[in-house]
Amino acid sequence: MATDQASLMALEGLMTEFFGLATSNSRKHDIETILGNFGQQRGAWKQCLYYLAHTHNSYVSMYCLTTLENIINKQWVGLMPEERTEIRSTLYRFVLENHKVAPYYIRNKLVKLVVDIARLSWPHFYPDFFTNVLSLSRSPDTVVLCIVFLQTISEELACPREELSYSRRTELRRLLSQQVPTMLTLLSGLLEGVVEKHKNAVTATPPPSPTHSHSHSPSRSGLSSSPIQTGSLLSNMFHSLESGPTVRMGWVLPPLDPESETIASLALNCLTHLFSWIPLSSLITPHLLNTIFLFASLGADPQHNRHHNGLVEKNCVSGESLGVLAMGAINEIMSKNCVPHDFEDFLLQMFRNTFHLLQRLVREEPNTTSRLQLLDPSYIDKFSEFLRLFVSVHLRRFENNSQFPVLEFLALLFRYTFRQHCVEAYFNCLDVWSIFLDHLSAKAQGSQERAGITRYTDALISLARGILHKIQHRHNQAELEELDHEIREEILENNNAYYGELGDGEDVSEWHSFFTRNLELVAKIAELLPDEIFSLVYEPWNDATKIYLSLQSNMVEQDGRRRLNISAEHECPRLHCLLRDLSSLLQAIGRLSTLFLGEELPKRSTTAVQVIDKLVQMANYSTGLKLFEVQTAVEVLHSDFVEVHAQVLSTLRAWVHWLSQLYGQQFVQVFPGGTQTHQHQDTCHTINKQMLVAATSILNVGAPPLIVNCGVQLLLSLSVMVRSPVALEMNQVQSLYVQAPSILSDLKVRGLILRALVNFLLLPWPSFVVDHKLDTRKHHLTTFINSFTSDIRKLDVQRLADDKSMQESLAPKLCDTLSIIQYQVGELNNTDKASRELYYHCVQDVIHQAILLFPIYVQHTSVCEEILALMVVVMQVLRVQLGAVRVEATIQTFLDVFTTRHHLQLAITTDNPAAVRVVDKFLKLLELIVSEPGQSFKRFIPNTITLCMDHIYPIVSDHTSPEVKSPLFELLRCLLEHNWKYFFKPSIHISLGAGNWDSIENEAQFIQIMQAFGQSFMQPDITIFKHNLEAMESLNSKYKLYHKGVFRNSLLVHFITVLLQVLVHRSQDLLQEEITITVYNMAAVDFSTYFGAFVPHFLQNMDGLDADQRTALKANFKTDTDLPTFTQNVQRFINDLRYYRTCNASLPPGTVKL
Amino acid sequence: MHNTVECVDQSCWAQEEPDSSTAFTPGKYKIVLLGDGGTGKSSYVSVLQNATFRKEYIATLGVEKHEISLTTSHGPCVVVLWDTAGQEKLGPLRDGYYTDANAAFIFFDVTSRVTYKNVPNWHRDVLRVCSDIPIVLCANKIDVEERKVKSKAITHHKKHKMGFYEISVKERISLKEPFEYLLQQVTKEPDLTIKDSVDADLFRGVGELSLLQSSLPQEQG
Repeated sequence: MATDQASLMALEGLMTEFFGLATSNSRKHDIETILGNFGQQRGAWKQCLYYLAHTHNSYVSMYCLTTLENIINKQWVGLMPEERTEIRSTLYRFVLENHKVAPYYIRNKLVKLVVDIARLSWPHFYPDFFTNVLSLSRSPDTVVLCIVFLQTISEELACPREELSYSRRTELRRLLSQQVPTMLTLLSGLLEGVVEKHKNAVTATPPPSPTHSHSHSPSRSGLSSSPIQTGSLLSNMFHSLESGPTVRMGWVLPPLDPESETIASLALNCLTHLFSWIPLSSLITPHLLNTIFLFASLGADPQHNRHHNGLVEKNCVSGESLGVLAMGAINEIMSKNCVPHDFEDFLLQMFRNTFHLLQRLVREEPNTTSRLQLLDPSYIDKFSEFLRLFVSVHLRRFENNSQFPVLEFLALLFRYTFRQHCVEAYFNCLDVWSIFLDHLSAKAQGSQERAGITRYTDALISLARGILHKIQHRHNQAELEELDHEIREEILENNNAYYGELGDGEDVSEWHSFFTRNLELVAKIAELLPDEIFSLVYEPWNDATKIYLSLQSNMVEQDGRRRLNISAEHECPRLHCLLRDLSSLLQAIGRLSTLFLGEELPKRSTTAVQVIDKLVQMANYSTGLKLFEVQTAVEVLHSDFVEVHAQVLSTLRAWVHWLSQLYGQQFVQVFPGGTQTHQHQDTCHTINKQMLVAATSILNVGAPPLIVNCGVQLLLSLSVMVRSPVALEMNQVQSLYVQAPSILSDLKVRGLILRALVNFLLLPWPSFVVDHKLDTRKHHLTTFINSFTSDIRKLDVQRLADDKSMQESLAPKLCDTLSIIQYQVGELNNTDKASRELYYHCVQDVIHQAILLFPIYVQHTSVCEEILALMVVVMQVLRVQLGAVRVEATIQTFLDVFTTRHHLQLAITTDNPAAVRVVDKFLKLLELIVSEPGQSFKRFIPNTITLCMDHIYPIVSDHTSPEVKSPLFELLRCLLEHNWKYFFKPSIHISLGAGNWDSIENEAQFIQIMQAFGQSFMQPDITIFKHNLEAMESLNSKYKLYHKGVFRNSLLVHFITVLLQVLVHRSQDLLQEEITITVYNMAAVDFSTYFGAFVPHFLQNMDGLDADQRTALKANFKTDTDLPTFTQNVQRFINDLRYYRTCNASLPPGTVKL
Repeated sequence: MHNTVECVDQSCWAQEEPDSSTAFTPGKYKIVLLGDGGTGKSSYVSVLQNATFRKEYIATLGVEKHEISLTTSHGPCVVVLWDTAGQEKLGPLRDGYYTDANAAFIFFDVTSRVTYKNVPNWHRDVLRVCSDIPIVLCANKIDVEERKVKSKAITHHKKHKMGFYEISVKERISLKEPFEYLLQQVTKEPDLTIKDSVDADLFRGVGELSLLQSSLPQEQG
């Protein structure tokens, strides 16, 4: 005992040190090693029980319990029966003795250990487990403990995480299911007990009247004028509710005493967990459900809003109020999609209960806008979750049920949505609507169910109107001004983002995400009701635009500067709101441009032309007046002007797509003899001109960067999408060709303009254009490209090679120009051969120059990278134009530089990130070459394999270096995928049906590559592992890799073995699914060999198993050959194999097993 | 009278009784990170500490403690992050690490279903030790294209009182938000924000780049 006491003190010292603030990580590791070793000792359990009984230090208690937990879960079979009994009875005694005095987490852990033991022994070796637990409910002292037990049982027995044999898992589920009715009855009884206890104090608040009128609605919507006002349907619906068994629904419980609150919280939580795994069935009685709803209704009552702060025990698993917990339990039932037929009435009853609550929630309250404001936000979240589940899972079941008034439900949802006070809660409601809209879209597409949607038209229009009000200052100023614009303003200053593209970045302002979510929902409604919704947006936009266009009359000249003479205190805010709304509505007009595309184009073209006209007018007006430099009384108006202006250009850009479709081939008429006309040619050209004017005229007038960016983006979009002779005919565009190369202020803007200008000259015009002016364009393009590349073209390479300082000073210019060309080449990817040839003709000198420069700049990684990046794109797009000889010479140059001067080795071994990037690009380049289908590049295959397998792979094979390994394996994958015939010649035997023993060539190289793949499966890098697994799978599905003779004979067994071992050791746990599928495909080469020979062989070589276990594992590995069953069987096999090994590891050495 | 149910006689446990509501000095918080191995906990911590993203995976053994100082809109605070190992490498103390924690992150990997399947287990483990601490669920690796756990399938956080964020430690997407959420909850200051100080620049990194890339015209002519 004395030694025990001493070691306990030592242990307490260690634990206190471990959790001490100043203890270092390495000291912690040392302590953990000591603790770990202690726990490994045989008989450690005895000491743990002793310490538990004698320590006052809760860290020590936790440690001892964890050690015992480990012993129970990993070494139980290795203990003698009497030892097991001692551990079990001691722990259970501890629980009973300490559950009220110990900290709750010690109690929870004690309970967990007892349940863990039951998980292994109940009922065979622990028959009274359940009886003991249930009997705890009989004494008020142990009720709480009883519920904690039930919850832990539900968690650990129904959904165990620790290893357990598969058959035991199944057995436990079955045994536990038999106990479910008892558990439910017990919990239900406890909840009712709580209600009974407070029944006497129930205040006689009358139930709310369902016909209560709701005069104050957020809008004059179709929804608020629905029959909800008359209440006829709803009152019928709820009539049955009030007179039914749930008569107490509308009644309010007084605040509960803390003990009852604790019991109710725990019981509701426990029910929630049970509901998560038991199937819907008659076990969940209406009686139980009504009790839960009674608690759920507490949340709808502001009095019960918060739980009794400070009074509630730590027992409450989450500290949530009872209403929230009860809604959680209900939602658990709601989330089950599998509804037995006889359960539908029951669900209907449940919805009635909930919608009754919903009605209470949206009821008007005196002195506040709605009751929602008074409630716990968690409760509202739960309620919204209920609505989401209802709409997504169950609505289609009840939509056509005559007993379910779906329009009234939507009316309630509408009110619930627009009475939310918190943005997140409002978004949750929008999500519910979004699911509803998906449902309607699916319906509309499915059949001629248009009628099914007509009944919702009014509701949807009301919803769109509600949302549009939400995003306009005119209607919702207070809320909108609360939103933060911060990030957008930062971007505005830094000028490093392009307007209208913000949606892609993660860093968007609160305002922006609020606005987009609303707008996207409006757009979604518009897909169902395009005309109605567009006019809802068009009208306010038109109104605001009128005022905007009339502001000219408020300009005055003063001291040579113009200023806006609107300065009155009330007028400025009004103008501010108007401008903000205008810019929002402009975005909406841009977003809805998609409604005018495709089939809809002809019938909506008049409106489209009107819209574009107005936008062009706004653009010209804004640029002409230079509103961005007008002085304003308050600063905010200035930024409003900038924003509206930028938005006008962005919105025009959104309509470029429409214009490009209007130019489309479907409007072309071909006459005999080949003449073509386009029926809208004049309109197209006019609009194109107008847009080009809008885009170009803003570039040179000193506008803020934001507006200039929008102009440039518009120009670029026009150059890419709208191809016509118009641009080159315009003075505004022509003069840009002269100015643009010398714009130095902003490199990005300059790059974009140059790209646009090249596009205008280069990209092909539509067929109906009579004169394509190819020669003139070619000439202009050459001159133009020369104008910004001549510096590089004229370089004297020889001189540069000797002049270090010249190399340095040229580098930035070189990078800049190469990157512009790289972008332009990239853009050619979608064009025809003629354009590629034309462009290649103009830039070939530069490309060749770049290759010559490469050896000179080989130490200068940023230039190297730029050159290789350019070459990668050139190989992708201009390969044919470059020609085989040129390509070969280029690759040879790179190969020489890399291999002869050891740059590769140096780059890889010194771990210089920039140099590694260069290697990466080079491998990418080779990847393109080996992927080339033609014969001309096949000569590179052997060299590439040698480079990969003899030069690079040996350096990286044993290191992590993912930066090199990833592109290396990707190159190998491409090489195999595109050059299968290099290894496997189509065999005549196959065509004769003689099997797939096809001949292999270059076998040694093939095996070398496969071994590299195999090697990667034994290494920890998960990214490479995953990549290579996918590569193998893809080769198998394309070429039946696993079935090839060479693979079957010498590799297959090794691969399966390695993959199964990875599963057993759980070393790549994240990839379980993928690995199992690969094992399946490998086994599928020959299932009978797999089951008959491989599995026994694998088991024989697997240590840590005894003969019986091997036999059992073999016998339990069912020979199903479909993927889902096979996957399950593999999981079971691996699970049981691990379980046996764990058990065996706990046996004392030399233990004889019978 | 019943409010004393749990504390009638704490004398034998009184010494160093870890209690999540009183154990921390104001402004100093213990936050634990849990979740399956390889889901990005240590990478997250190392990004928070302004180191670079860890490309290679080194499994954490037991626990690693990291202290970081932050400036918030409500004053300075020190957070001690307890980065725990995924299940296989959990040390001898396992859930013992969670004692005294003021808040917790639970990580999973959207490219691996099993890691999401295990979220309830981690959650249940931490709740048993700290019944009422704020918890945030982080769905990591949303930058990876072949995502297996879709947003719609993630429902665990809706069943419990917990924050939820889809993040990418690698691409530095939404790294600040879950942290801020926990601090708001712990301090009960819903408006608290983490100030961008020198070592908090890390929260914004790749954003600018991706904006630039996306500025190329997406439409096909």
